[in-house]
Amino acid sequence: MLDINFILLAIAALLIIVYWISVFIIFYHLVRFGVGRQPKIFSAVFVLGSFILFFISIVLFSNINTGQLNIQLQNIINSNPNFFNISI
Amino acid sequence: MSTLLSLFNETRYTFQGQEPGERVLLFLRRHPITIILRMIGLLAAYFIPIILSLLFADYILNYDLVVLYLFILSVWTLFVWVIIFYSLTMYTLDVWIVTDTRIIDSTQHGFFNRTVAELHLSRIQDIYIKIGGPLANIVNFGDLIIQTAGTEERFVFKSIPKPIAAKDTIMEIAFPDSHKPKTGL
Repeated sequence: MLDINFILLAIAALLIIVYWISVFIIFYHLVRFGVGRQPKIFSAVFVLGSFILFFISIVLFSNINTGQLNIQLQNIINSNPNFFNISI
Repeated sequence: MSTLLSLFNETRYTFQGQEPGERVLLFLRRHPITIILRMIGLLAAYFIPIILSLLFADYILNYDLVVLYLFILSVWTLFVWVIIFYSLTMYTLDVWIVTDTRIIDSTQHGFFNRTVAELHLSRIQDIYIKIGGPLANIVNFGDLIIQTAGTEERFVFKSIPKPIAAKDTIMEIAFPDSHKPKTGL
């Protein structure tokens, strides 16, 4: 069985790569091909927001206790949860 | 770098490749309602994990998964953020510029496909507009189609605001002797 720590890190690394490639492509298109001021303003807002949101995600990720998470997930599976029995 | 710095000197009346003395008469993008509707859809999608968290609140709290939930929510936020700006990019990169000598049709199809076409006013043969649907009639947007001479492709200005006024402007500059606008829109 794969270690949950490894799986989480692999998913995080993949997300980071895909995310920053997308950010770069959008930023490049807005600055390079945009006509007028509007696309440049969008690109500035986008890059600034991307950095802030990424920073928040990293902080939240670092707060995850992967050792405890493994136990928590096992507890959920062992409790045989019925997700259809939800209370609103 | 020079493109980035162009933020400080570019206006909606200037564009890359503009001839000296060339005057921009119309600078058109799709009607803002088209992008606003998409933004509403994306914002609705953003609230999906929040609604799910309310439904599964017991599990999240009982098994102490709040931190994991917040992380998943932050990743979802990043995803929606990128999709919102992808939509805005496609919206802002589709432009139609009418100058006193030519028409430029610049459209973006996804990240890696881009079409830039140019038409000199003397080659315009026919112009017509197409306004379809109740929303287009209420908000006043529609397609403007320019038929060119010969077997060349048509120029289609998609979902532009005030298409009748745009048609009148183009007719006025393309056929200054014969055309007098009949609509005051």
